Amino acid sequence: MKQNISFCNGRSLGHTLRRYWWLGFINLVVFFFAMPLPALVAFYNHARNLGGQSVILSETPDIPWTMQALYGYADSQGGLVILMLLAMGLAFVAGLTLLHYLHDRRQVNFFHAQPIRREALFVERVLAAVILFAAPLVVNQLLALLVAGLYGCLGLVPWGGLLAKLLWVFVGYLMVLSITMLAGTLTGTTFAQFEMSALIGCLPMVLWGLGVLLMQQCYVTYMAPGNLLGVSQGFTPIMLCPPLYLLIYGAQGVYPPAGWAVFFLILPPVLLAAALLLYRLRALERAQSPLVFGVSRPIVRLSTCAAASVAMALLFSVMTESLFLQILGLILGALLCHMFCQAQFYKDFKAMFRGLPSLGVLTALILAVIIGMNLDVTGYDRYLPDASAVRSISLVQASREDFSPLEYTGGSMREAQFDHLDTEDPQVIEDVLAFLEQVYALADAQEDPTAFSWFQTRSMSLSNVSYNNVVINLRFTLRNGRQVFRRLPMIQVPDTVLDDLEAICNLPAYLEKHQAVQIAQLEELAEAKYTPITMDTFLRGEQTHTDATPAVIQALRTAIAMDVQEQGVHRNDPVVGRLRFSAPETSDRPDAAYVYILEVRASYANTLRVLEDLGWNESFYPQGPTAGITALRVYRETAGENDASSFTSYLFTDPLAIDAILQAARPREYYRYSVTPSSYDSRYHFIVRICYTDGGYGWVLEPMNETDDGGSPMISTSTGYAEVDYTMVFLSGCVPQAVADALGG
Amino acid sequence: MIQLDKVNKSFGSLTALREVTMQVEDGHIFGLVGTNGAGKSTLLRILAGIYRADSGQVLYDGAPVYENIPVKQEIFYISDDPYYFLNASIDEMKSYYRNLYPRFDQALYTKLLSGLDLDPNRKLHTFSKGMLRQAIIVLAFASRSHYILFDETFDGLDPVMRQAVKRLIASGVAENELVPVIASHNLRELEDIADHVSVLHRGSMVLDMRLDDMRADIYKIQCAFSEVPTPQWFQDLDVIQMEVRGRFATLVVRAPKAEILAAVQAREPVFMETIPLTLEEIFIAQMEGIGYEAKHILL
Repeated sequence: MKQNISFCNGRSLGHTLRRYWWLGFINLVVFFFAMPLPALVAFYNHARNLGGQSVILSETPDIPWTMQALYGYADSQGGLVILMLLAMGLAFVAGLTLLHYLHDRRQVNFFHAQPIRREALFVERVLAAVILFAAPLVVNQLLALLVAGLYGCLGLVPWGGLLAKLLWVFVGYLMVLSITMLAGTLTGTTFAQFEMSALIGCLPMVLWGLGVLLMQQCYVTYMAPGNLLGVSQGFTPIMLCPPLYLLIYGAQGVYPPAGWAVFFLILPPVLLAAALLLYRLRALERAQSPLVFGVSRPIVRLSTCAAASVAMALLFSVMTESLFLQILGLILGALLCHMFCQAQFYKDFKAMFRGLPSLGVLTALILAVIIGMNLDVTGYDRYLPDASAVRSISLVQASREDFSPLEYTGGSMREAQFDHLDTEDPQVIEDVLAFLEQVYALADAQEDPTAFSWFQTRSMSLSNVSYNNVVINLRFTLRNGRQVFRRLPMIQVPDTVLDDLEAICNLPAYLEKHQAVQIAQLEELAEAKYTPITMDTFLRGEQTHTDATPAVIQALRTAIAMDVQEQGVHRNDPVVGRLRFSAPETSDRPDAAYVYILEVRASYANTLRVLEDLGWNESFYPQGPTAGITALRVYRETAGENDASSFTSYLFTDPLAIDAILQAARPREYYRYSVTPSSYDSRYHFIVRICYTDGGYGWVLEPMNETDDGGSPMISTSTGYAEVDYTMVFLSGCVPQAVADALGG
Repeated sequence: MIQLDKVNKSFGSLTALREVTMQVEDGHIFGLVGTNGAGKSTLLRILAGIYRADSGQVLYDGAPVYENIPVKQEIFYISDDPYYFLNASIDEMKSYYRNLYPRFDQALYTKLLSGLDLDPNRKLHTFSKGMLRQAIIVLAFASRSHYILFDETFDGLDPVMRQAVKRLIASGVAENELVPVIASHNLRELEDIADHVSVLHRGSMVLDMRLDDMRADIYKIQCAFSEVPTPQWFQDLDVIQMEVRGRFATLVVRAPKAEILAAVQAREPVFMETIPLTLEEIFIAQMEGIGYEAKHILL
């Protein structure tokens, strides 16, 4: 009897879809609440806020931002993260549900007795999972588009962003589904599938993280290429949990680099193919055994035991300095994990004590490795490359803020030393290496271990590092392209040592030059780019809005471009991070009314909208004596120690008083001026802060408007301010003492 | 025809089947007997293509069964613990099977359901154990599979229903060339239906014979004598079993009937009668004949 191999039985697939219709229904309901319903609510609120005005909804300034938030890939409200989380959760449920039959002997006997090939059974399940997810997603997206169409905004839908969002969410679903299904073919119970999914997804990250922690614990000079969650600092999705990485891209609203996008697209099919292969090899009678493939038992047991033992040892090392307790923690972690694994494998608590010899060997090995690392038997901590092999050297002093004009002007030259040095000068490289050798020799020869030692710095937080506790980060770039990173913490370093290093590196001269460049750049930013945008001219109305707005927009575009460059995000990404240009706190030109802080924390489109508001919206700042303001709460801020502030508030309801306060504030220069518009609840809701910090005092003015029903004045509170956490632009200038005096301070 | 050749199957350190060789010919009703844990269910699952044999061959008309869809379309496996979809009715299960078995007979399905008085729309989880068995038997026969593998299928059926199912099997064999393979730990279940029986014991096939062959030349004689009989009286016969109560003796003898009667007549019995042997007695006789303590193997 000749047979034709088929990877899918259409009628059986149809039956599976009917059997698991409830999965699709759950998806449908979940996505309904995540996609069309928020769209409906948003459009409804927009329409309501127009209050019957004869304005076309699609032409209101908020709508482009709303469309981007609801339909685009870049969602400043985190909607993509929510969608992605939902998709991943649903994929997990689908993976557990659709392969549940493999973990039940009755069902195994039933399905595999039928004239269907294993491949067809598996592919049919995968297809069912995909269809039961994709169909509700698409249906809900169409519903959301229908909502946009009903409000006449279909033309503003960001189609590219929408497709990217759907694709990315789908990739996230497939990623988790493939991991769960791979785990399902490796295991024989649903609980084990659950565990195995986590293991496949997170074990590389856990092992990598533990490795980094272990290196940091054992090697004083080890410098991790980034922090544990520093995905933006060189971690790869392979090392991290791929779903987590997907989620991070979703959270940032940033397109992944092309290479990784391809990786994410390819990985799920590869994992599913591996799952299919394992399914073919799987012994069906192993249903209800936690691990189907016997060979995977020691791998899973020993790898998790290794991770658990290292984790427990590290935990104990945090809690205690006792070496004995740390070793006890290591053994305890390994033993507990081993017992847990064995009890699960054999479904018998008595089995917890089987396999102890292999555990003993493993524990001894780990212990030997850790002790070896602590004793630095490989010479890691003392390693210095040969001068001839080094192409360049980089020194970064990491115990202080990076170089900045603030430190230059506000602090002493001494504090700015050891900040940064890059050199390819062979002589300097040779001198630095010779110096480091001396440092090592000094460390070895020291009599007082606390006088000059990096071994004392293990538990030392960098935030507590004082001048004499210097951490120097070293990066050697070798001629073969390899880079070597080392961290050199030094406690109570004798001045002579630092002086030697300064002399070798000629750091003062370098820093002088570097600072000069930085100052010039800052001056250029301040004068050339931001001088036209003055609070003074803006608030006085001496400069027309139409002239000012393009300048502001141009400045923002420049800022965003720089942000893009700094953050490494794609230049077309509509979301930008945060950019801050700092000028000296104690400016030598206190009367200068130039803007020196420009902080953008919004989507690009939304930022433009806000700036357009700044320039065009007459109601943005109260015009005239009262401008609809019926109450004004004034906060007096008293700065205390450690930036702690206390507030005293005064409520003014007299129109004359309000007018007087506003007029007092209006024509003058402001130290800080922040705007918090709300697009939903209150057209007049905003906060004006007028602060003066010279002398430790500040003022906050909050103009209020009447409530919608014309009742008593609505007094916003700081909580209300937080609720509309919407601050887009900070424009700051300098304030003379006279302003504070005029306000009754 | 099903052929098994030196089939082995182990589950870890446990050997479930050891060098099992047997043949199921068309037109026969094949009975598979063995105690619990003898390997019957494992053998049936290998026959159904669920498990893969560690070694050896399982062929249906010369074609391997494992992952072979055309072959599996000719097989219907009735598990000892049948599975049905959650909240499914017989009709819903039927629609599933109809997609998979190309010769599914809707008319026969309707007829059998009606005959057994089963409601096709009633949820299976509301059925009793016996009714569930009936439902799965209906689906099996309606699939028009050439081979139906019954695993302890008669358990849970009432006597009337057992007879009905046996009649169904018999008519299937007669009319539709059905080849049933019936596994049971109860020899009496197979006595009036199987015509070829194999005995599994601890994973090994200890006996594999046609029932007619078994019955041939084995007779049970009850007789009474004027004095107490001794085994020496019949030492020329192949006496398998002899039970003496006073002057009354019961003999199970393997020999041509005429020879047996002549030997007994020579002792001038007061009374002599040939009575039919049950399948169990034949098995005991056969098993002991090949050196097994049959009472440990058969119930």
